[in-house]
Amino acid sequence: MELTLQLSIVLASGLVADWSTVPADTYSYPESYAFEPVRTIANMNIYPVPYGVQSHSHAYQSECDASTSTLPPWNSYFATRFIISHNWSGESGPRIVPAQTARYYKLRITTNGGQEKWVSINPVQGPFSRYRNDRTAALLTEDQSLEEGPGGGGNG
Amino acid sequence: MVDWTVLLLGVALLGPQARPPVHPVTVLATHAQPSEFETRLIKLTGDELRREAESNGYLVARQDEFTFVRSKNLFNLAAMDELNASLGALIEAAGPNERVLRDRETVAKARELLATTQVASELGDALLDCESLLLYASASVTLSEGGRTVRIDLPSRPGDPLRAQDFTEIKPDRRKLEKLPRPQPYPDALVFSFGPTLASSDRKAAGSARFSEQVAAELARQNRRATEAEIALRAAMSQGVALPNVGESFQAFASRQSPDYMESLIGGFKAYGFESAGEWQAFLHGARVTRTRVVPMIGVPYSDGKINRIRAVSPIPQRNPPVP
Repeated sequence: MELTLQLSIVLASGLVADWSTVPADTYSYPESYAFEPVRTIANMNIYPVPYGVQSHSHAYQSECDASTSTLPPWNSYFATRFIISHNWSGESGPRIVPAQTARYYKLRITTNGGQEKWVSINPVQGPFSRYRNDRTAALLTEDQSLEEGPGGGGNG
Repeated sequence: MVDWTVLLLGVALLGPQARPPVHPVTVLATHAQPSEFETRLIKLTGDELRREAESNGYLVARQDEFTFVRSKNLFNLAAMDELNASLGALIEAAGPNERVLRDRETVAKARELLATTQVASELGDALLDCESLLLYASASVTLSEGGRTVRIDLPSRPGDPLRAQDFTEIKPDRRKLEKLPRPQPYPDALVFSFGPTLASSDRKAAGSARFSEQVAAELARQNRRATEAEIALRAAMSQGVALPNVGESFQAFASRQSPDYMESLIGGFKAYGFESAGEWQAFLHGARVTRTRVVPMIGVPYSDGKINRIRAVSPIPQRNPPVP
């Protein structure tokens, strides 16, 4: 009778995939940024110069990818696997570029996501991990002096 | 013999009388023609001149027969002293990672610096509405290979994330530049005017020259301070940042970067003037670093109602702010 009971417990353990996060394997990425150049205007003159509008469009991707296992329970942040293409569009200018200045327009793409690794107590099925990359974009306009030496600006 | 005696006697007697008399000269330096007040001011002398000048924001200095009078803020000298002090607050806040400044006092100091730059001309009073600013180092390298030269941005070092609420929406009517406190732009000219004097023109010119030298020394001192502050700011932001060395293969540097960075770099081949990702990769494969640059930047995150933007410039104050 006692032997039968012990056997049932072992069988039950083998059948149920009881998922949990393991603290040592659960972590988040900090944000990361990448820049994609959109437009550069370099004014080599000693006087400011005007320039016109230019439109831009750009596609970038957000994704939650990796393990195809659908076994529960991914937490809600990682629950759905997805790949989304974002279309970003914007305009640069018109503006005046100061003398001896380069104006860089860059798309600053921020990856907001993180990674979390989930581990199953069943060694056959795990560990599984999923990666999530949510991206957002902002148009960064940066002026830098074309003069050598220290200084991105200033007019002493 | 007699002739020589007469001549020497004549020189001895006439010499002291030939030296021109010394007449006091009051020299006023301005950027434009003197105002009515300034014209009246340089007619005064002695204590009366000093009292009237100092109570109206002017400085008076004496040197030999010359009295120099100028506005405390000629060449924005007084304003620049305060701005260089504000730059000190940024040095304290700066580190190798990006920082989002939200502390009211630091933002106010950074805003004072921004008010002297092109950003103030573009965003106007809306700068007063922006309560978060991004402090970061813009690091780039110039690469050369096969006669082509390309500048690329290095990955920045994440720190505080910018939140959606950091992008203040700017209404078009806030772009006027009316309420934002900032040093006044001045005409790029230096005008010398003289108070009533019997001094000859050459003494007046000599007075102008000496006054110029004094102002030049003051400007040089301030510019040195600004350069030192900029170097300190860049040092704080470059601390521990692994930059590629000039002459190093870009490939070696790239192998130490995150896959995200390389993926984004390769995907942007068109923006770098290449026909295909393959051509761009071939360039990167053989490219060598010819220059590295780290420039401290301060960015204003805002939204124009359609897209999020960050407008960034060097925080080094501009002595003569651009005219809107």
